[in-house]
Amino acid sequence: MRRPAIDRPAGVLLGLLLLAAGAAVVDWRFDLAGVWDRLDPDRVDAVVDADWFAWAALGAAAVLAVLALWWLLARLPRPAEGRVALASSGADRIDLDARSVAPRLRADLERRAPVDRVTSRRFDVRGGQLIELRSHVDPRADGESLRNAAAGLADEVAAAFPDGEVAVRVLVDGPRRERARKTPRVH
Amino acid sequence: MKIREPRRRPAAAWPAVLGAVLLAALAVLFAQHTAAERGWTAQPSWLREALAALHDREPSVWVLAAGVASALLGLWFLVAAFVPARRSHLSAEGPGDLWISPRAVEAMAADAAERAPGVLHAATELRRRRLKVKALLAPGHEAAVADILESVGDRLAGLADLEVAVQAKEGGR
Repeated sequence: MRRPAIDRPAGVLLGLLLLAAGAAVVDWRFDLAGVWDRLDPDRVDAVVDADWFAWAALGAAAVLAVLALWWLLARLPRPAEGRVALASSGADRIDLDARSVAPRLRADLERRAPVDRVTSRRFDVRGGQLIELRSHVDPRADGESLRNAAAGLADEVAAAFPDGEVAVRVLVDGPRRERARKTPRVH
Repeated sequence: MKIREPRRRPAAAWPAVLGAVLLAALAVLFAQHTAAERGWTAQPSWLREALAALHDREPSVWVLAAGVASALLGLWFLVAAFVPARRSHLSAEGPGDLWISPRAVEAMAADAAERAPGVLHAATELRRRRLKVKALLAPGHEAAVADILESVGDRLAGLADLEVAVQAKEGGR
C-alpha cells in the first residue's frame, strides 16, 4: 500500500472539522459558549429551499465523490517502471529491463545467506530503481553471514550498474514459523 | 541514490481511508438531496430531515452521541496526523544495505542463548536498543550467564549496537 503525502494535511483538516462538529453539538446540549443561540435555523432552511441549492449539492456531491475516489486509489500500489536507462557515452541509448534482475538477486540471497522465502519488490527512486529483497531469517543465522551476503549482493549490483541505476536493499524479518520447532534440543 | 529507511505504515493511513469513506458518504447525502428535490426519487431528502432537527431546543440522544463520536474521531485524526511512522527494521553495519527486524534479532539471540552450555530454555525481547534474554539454566550452571552474553554477542556481531541484559533462573532438580 502506498502512503500518499496528502494523508497528514487532509487528516488534520478533517480532524478539525469533526472536532468542530462535535463541539457544536455539545454546545447545543449544554450551552457552554452560546454559539448555538446565534444560529438561526430559519435562515438555514431558506438556503436549502433556494432553487440553486439542489444543483450546488449535486456539484458538491460530484466533487466529494471524485476526491474520495482519488484519495482511496492513491494508496493502491503502482507497479514500478520496468526499464532503466543505462548511462552511455555515445548517441545510443540502452534500456535494461530491471524486472529480470530481481529473480537472480532473490536466488543469490537464498544461496548466500541463512534466509528463506525471499520476495522482492521494485521501487522507483530518484535516479534509478531500488530492488528490495525481503526474507525470513533462519534462527541459526549469525550476523556476519547476513552482512557478508548483503555486501556481496551490493558489490554484484554495483559492478553491474556502476552509475547506480539499480540498488539493492535486504530486509530480514523474523522466522516464518517460530513454533515449528517442537523437538527439544539436547546439548 | 538517497533511499529512505524502511518504516512501518504510518498511523495516519487508517484515518485517511476512513476520511475518504466519510467524504463519499457526504457525497451520497448531497446527491440524494438533489435527487429528492428534483423528483428523481420518491424518498424525502435525508439532508432536510437532518436539518429539521436544528429546530429542536436540545439535541436528541442520538445526535448527542453522534456529536461526541465525531469529536473523538476528530481527535484521533489529529493525533494520527502528527505521529511519525515508526522504523520497522534496524540498520546493520557494513557496506551492504542490510536491515534487520527486531523479531529476527530476537529469534537469533534466543537460538544463540539456548546453545550456550547449561541453558535449558531462553526467551528474548528487544525494546528500543535493549535486548533482554531470559534464560532457564540447568542446575549447577550459574556461570552460564557469561557464556550467554558471549554467545549472543558473537551471533549478533555487526548487526546492531544493542545493550544485552541477561536474566537467568536456575531450574529445579
